[in-house]
Order: sequence, then C-alpha cells, then structure tokens
Amino acid sequence: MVFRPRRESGQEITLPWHRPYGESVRVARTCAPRGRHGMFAAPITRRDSGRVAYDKPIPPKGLHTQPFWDGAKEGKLMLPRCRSCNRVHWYPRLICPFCHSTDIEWIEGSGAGRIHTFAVQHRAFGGWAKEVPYVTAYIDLAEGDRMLTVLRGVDAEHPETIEIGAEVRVEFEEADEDTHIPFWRVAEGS
Amino acid sequence: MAAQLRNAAAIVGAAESNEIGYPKERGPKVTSLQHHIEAIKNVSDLTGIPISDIEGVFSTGWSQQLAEHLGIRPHYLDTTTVGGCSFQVHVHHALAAIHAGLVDVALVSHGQDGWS
Repeated sequence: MVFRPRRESGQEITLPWHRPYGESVRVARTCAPRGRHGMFAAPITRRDSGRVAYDKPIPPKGLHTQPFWDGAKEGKLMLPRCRSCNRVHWYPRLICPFCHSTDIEWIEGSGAGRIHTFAVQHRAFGGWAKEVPYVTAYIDLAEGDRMLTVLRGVDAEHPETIEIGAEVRVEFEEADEDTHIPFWRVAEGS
Repeated sequence: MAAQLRNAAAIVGAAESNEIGYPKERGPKVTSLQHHIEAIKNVSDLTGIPISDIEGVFSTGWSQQLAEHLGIRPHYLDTTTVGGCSFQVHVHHALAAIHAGLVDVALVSHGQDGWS
C-alpha cells in the first residue's frame, strides 16, 4: 500500500495530495491558481432558496472579454469579429489571430453551430467529478472558428450515438451573478 | 564555432507595450498578456515584419500561449526561465536556431504586470 509518514506519536501525517480532490487545499502559489475559484476550489455553498450551487471553477474575466460576459448575462452569444478581415475568432483575443489588426468589434452570434469533434471524459476532479462521464466537444460556430464546450443533450455512455456535424445550439448556465457560462446542446432531430 | 554564431543574425527591432499600470482611473490594470501582445504588435509595426512571419517564439513560459493568441505555428519554441537574464539567453538561443537554419525570424517577448 502507499507509504504514509507518521509522527513519533504514531499519528499519521496526511499530506495534501492524500485528501480527495474537491476539498479546499492550501498550497503555495506555484503554477495554477488555487483558492476560491482555482483548480482545487471548495464547493461554494449558498443559503438562498436551496438552489444547487455552482461548484465548478468560475472563469476569471479580462478587460477585453467584458462584452462577452455582459451578453452572456442576457443569453446572447457575443463573438469578436475583426473589422479588417471580417473573420470571427474564438477565444476573444487582443488582436485578430488571422490578420493581426487591432480593429475588433463584437457581434451577436446566432447561437448555432455543428459538432466538429468530441471526446468522452471519464475522470475529473473538483465540481466536475460528479458529472463524469461527460462529453467535451469542439463546436464549429456558424460565424466561424471553434469553441470548446461540454456537450449537453447527449448520452456519454453511448458515444456512438453522437454524430460529427450534428447541429447544436448554445444555452447559458448561471455560475454566479456576473458569470453565465455557455454550453452547447444537441438540437432536437439531429 | 562561437565566432560563426556572432554573425548568424541581427536584432532588427525592439518595441514596448503602450502603457503600464492603470490606464483608466482605478480601472483594470494592464495584464501581462496585454503587455506581450501590445509590444509584439508594436515591434511588428516598427520593423514592418508581419506577425505571420514569426517562426520562433522565445519567452519565460508564455510561448505556447503567445503562439496560440497570435494565430501562428512556430517552428521553434523556447521557454527558458532563469531569472532576469532569461531574455539574453533567449537571444543566444535564437542565434543558435537561426544559425542552424531552423528559423529565419525569431521573437523574444516579455510582459509583466508586477509591482516592481
């Protein structure tokens, strides 16, 4: 079995990586952010209306992504588009990754897309552990470029039923007051 | 060998990001990534070398993220991190890569939104 160090008294010393994932762990800041919204975040408990709290990591917001989050709160999929080359890119960048112009505007996307590829996840930690197995997918946006997502409306236990090219629609899930996160759901009849 | 390396390449341009700190009164601080991208855009404008021509990316751990952000597919990546002199080491490595014929255009980039 695994060697567990002991104090002189015989008491076992539990090191942070012996605890199950999902528990809040205090570690020195090395690479990935820990803390409330970091990789090993503790579940956020709320006492209002008994609603199930969102206990998965919440993405931080950058200055140049604020229009996306503002639109997400209203259920709109805002996408950055370059005025110089008219191409939409994802994820939002500080300059267009195609023509490198800084002239970027935000447009409201149609919320439609098609599955480009997908994978089934069987192992996860933190808030995602209880959703396993689940399907991650790259979605070809109708407006252009690709978005990574967790696919809804599919049976992760039977990935053979998921079709490449199937039509999907975006839906938003509330993580907290300022953060509505887009997920994609396979449209009916596809 | 060292003498050959000295003449293998030249630094053709250098530029900085636009602004440091809080550009708007207590608005969001300019992030490290923003410093990188602004400086890269500025040096590209200054030298006339388009960003799509960059074949090697050298930074202290940001190279992968920079390449993806810029939409380029470099032939050479370097993330040597040895403290404050890392960027001179990047120039040395870029010199070696160019001398070996692996790349023709190399980018050394740094951006930091620290307090000192």
